[in-house]
Amino acid sequence: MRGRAFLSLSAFTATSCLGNGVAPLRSRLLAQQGGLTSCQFEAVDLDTYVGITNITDDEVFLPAALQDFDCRNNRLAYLGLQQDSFIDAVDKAKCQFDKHRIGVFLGTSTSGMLQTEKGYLELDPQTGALPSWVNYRYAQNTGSVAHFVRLALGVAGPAAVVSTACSSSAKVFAMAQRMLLLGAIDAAIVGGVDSLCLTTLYGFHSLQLLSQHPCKPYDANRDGISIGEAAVFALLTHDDEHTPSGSLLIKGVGESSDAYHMSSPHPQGLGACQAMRSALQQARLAASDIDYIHLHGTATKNNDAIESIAVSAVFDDMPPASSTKGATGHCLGAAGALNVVIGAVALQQQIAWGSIGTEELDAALPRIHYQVHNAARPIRHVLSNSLGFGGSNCSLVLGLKD
Amino acid sequence: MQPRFGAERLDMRECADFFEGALQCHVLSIGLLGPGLPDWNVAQSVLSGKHSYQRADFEIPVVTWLPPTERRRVGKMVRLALTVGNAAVQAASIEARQLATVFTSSSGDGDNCDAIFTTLAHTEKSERFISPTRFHNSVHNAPAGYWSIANQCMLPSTSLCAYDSSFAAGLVEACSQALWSDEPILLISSDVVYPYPLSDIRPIGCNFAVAMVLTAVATDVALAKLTLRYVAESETRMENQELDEVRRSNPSARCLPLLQAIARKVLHDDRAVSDTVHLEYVEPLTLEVAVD
Repeated sequence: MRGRAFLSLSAFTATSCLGNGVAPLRSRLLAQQGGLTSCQFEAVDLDTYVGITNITDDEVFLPAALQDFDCRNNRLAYLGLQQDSFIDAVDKAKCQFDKHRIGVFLGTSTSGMLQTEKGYLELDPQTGALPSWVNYRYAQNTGSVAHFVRLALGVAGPAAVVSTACSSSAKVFAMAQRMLLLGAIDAAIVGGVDSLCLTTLYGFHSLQLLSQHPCKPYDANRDGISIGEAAVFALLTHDDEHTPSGSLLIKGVGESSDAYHMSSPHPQGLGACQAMRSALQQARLAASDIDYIHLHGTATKNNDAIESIAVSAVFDDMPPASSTKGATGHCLGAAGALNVVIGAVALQQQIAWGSIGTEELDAALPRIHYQVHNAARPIRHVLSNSLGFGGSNCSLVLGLKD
Repeated sequence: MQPRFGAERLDMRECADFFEGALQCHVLSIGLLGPGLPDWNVAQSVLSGKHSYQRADFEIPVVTWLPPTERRRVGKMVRLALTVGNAAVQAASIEARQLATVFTSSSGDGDNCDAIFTTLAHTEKSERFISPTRFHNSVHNAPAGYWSIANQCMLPSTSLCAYDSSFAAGLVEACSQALWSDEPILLISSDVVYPYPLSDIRPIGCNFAVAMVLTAVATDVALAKLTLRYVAESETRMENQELDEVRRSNPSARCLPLLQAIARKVLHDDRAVSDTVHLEYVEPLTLEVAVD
């Protein structure tokens, strides 16, 4: 058994339909205002709501040197990097550490797929070839966003993309944790970037998991997800004697696989239980030490039912719990990191978030302390859940430095 | 197309010592499937120079041990990944359900991707219907999902991509997990040929996959000990031109110099033999692997 596995969450930023950076996210969550709007995205003819960011359609958005990376996903990444003085924080880390010892580990499920989807609309009628502006390596390839962010930030250490559907950008915290604590790197930029595209919209539609309304997590009338997009970044460093008291810490990460079905969770939520228990164990905490659970809560019938079964199995005394997917939509590959950041803001504000969109709690679900409205309360530890297709689960415990 | 991100060169002095904490693990077994490389036994004798290399195309086998419902749903990518994974696990004599997994792939499932994009290019809504199976198979962690279901393995699993550095990224991750957990781990790296028109923008010349069971704990049955560092050296090429062509034409085959070093060590049965190879990794770095 290893020693303490804490990391310092030195800086973070999130850009979603709630706005660019953490300030609008914070103020809109405090005001309990969501950001979902009726879907007007591209030529999509689905009756649904989305959490869309304000990415510009300007011809030029990325710096000239990075222009080959131009696609919706990397534009969103670039927009996200500009917020919350995140670049300054990384520059400071670059002064402190060798840039070859700063890793970049990001989650995405969509990457720049939208560009190739559009390319298929313009196949050459004679040859069937894709138009020349479709760039596989720098747009569509799943690894593109890590490559892009690494160059945009001028760091040169190890890098990879984790793509495990909706748990992707939660699992990058575990990856960075291992690399940092094994001494392979000194700092890590982690996070997730996922952007709207046709594959996810029509894909979730085909599974009949797309709501026609702004999604309603844990509601008796919930009928599916609203897809969102987001760019979330965090700078992770060692937690040591230099970490100031009151700093945000990642205290534990737990990962598991359902081994049950490609798109349905395990009926008893065994995988989710295992992930939560491993995260608690690594944080050296009991379930009773958790003061707020930031649920995955996608608002599908199945996810919310199974997640509440899992939570009720792990917890005896229920801390307040809620999903904020009604505010941001389900940001898929960026959802895990967004959940962590919103959990971190809960710790800063000492507020357990309410559940925007939820009107009538589903009384048929196992009894957990699901919270519809914001509630001020002392919060020392937050548990954040991410559960994905392929049965990939990841839970994190966040806390404050003593 | 080359990116225009400037001519930043790596200053060797600046980073001579940038990987103080080298990652170390032991290879318990290897599974592989590539053109003219039907399994690890044949690959060992070819790579060590005992037999000559003869490139031959191959059929990706059906995964007979998948439950029937899942077996019907999987394409080339999943079949290839699961086949080599199973070969490595059998050779290591460890139960698959006792192994955490790291999957890595540059390409994912191109056939499935092409089918989805083709469907989405229809203008009528009614024609833009992606089958649910196609959609859940489109996730990068589809092989991991099917593997965990088939083997009833609830241990952690991750799925990575780093373009042409995907194998090295997977090796780093698997090694760090093995060290972190003190448990053996299964690494599976696989890439398949893309269909047209995707093949125009992502040419992959052959199907290739490799799997390794790695452990942090030294054991007599290990094939080799690997010590990983990231450095700025040029990549190791295969002396044999045909094998180097395979290495370059499939991202998962970037492992071939490492497999060759291991094969030489195993077949010469000389514990003193050691070799160092450099695998493609995220620029400007290469992954140095010392094989002892």
